[in-house]
Amino acid sequence: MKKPDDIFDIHVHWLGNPKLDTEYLEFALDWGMPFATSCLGHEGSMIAYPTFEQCVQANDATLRQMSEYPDFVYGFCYVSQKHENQAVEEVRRCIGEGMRGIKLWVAVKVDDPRTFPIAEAAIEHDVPILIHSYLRLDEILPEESKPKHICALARRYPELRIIMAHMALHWWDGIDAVARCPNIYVDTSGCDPELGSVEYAVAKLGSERVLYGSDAPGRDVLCQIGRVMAADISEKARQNVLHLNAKRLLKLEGEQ
Amino acid sequence: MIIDFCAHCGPDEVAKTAYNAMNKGCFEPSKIRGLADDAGIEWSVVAGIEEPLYGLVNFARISPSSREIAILKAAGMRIFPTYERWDFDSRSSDEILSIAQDRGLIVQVCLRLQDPRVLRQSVTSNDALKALSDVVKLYGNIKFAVGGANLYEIQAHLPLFKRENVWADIAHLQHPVNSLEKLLDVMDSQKILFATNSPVFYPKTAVFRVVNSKISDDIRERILWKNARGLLDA
Repeated sequence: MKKPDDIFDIHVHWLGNPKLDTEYLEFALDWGMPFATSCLGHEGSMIAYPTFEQCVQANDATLRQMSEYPDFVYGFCYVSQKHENQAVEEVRRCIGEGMRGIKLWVAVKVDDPRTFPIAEAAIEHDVPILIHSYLRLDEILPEESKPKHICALARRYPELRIIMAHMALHWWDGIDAVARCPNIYVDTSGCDPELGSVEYAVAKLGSERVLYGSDAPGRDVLCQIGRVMAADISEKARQNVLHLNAKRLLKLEGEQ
Repeated sequence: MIIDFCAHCGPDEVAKTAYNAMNKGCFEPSKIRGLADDAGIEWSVVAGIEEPLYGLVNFARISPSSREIAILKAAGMRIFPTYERWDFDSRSSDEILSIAQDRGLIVQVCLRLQDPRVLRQSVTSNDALKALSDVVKLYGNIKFAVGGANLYEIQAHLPLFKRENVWADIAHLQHPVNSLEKLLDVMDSQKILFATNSPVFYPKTAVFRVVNSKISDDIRERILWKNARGLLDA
């Protein structure tokens, strides 16, 4: 299998860990792979329950990386729904400075009403929301969103475009759960390259709703790209997954 | 040439726990071979198949209660110490490992089939590796092939992985970026084995990552087949 000619990584984190951040950036530059990134804590640790100031600092780190690599690094704004109006204002600031999406992690489940103003801001600015989701055996993060919570948000706002991250880890249940919500996309990031996972997503959702993502630098990018390259899907579907869907979702077509 | 040091097939009770709608039919030996052929893999090490099949190297599948050890003719044996509880201090474990040592069998230690957040382990990989650290000293003539460890676990148990009689496979080396290169920073390249964890994982993905990693061709060849062949030939 040769390297793909075009690829866009929809799920990357700027960790504030110089070694890992640099390694990922060098890989992406070497492969000519633009990416969408969010910073969840700018000093080397990802902060599940950030203060508002920590969100601002994290987003400023993303904005710096965007300005250093224009047309290559596309920022997603990290906010916590707990910050309510401040979070919405932070979304407006970051989108105004060129970010292309919003990232929600585990501060509050996304069917909580505190998510609604953020969703409305996303619709207003026509940007997607990337939402972390894991179906795991042990509940260690009480506010981690499950696919059902994401579906509730998607049904409330049918015009909102949502990316459910990691295919919810337990991918076949995750994909089944969101199949009937056409405004939910999934990314392939942050889970092991299990046989059939990409084929299952493409079959259940259509290739237009599946996006390649890595969750790097925490994940090995080659294993994540290799999963899409290994999948038994049509070349058209593979191109959709590898880069076309991300470019459409972030409205980058014609820009690159 | 590529040798996959860890694939799964046959009626294995542990491997069955990783079945899902997409991979369930792929545990048949002929299907495993088909997947391997498609990925350019010539030989796959599996365990517990009933009939030999060209392209499959069959290890005995040994559980803590196995008694067939006395008659096994395989080149090696495979255990799952995180899914089946092994008491390595017990008399039965000693019997099994002593026979393995006497017969020059490779002991393959498979730590995980899937992410433990999806498939529960009864013993954590970390605890299994701690126990194994003592076992490899006691049975110094056994060659141990440890599969399913991630980079952080290998780094946390480096004295184990630096022992002359211990090899590591890379099937679950999924974190972080450049993990294979990072493994080569801490482990002898002659002790690293290519493995796919197929059909739980895509075998082609494992090939893709090794082919595209920034490593020398000499090291790539060692990982893809030379180290495995040396271990199996011995």
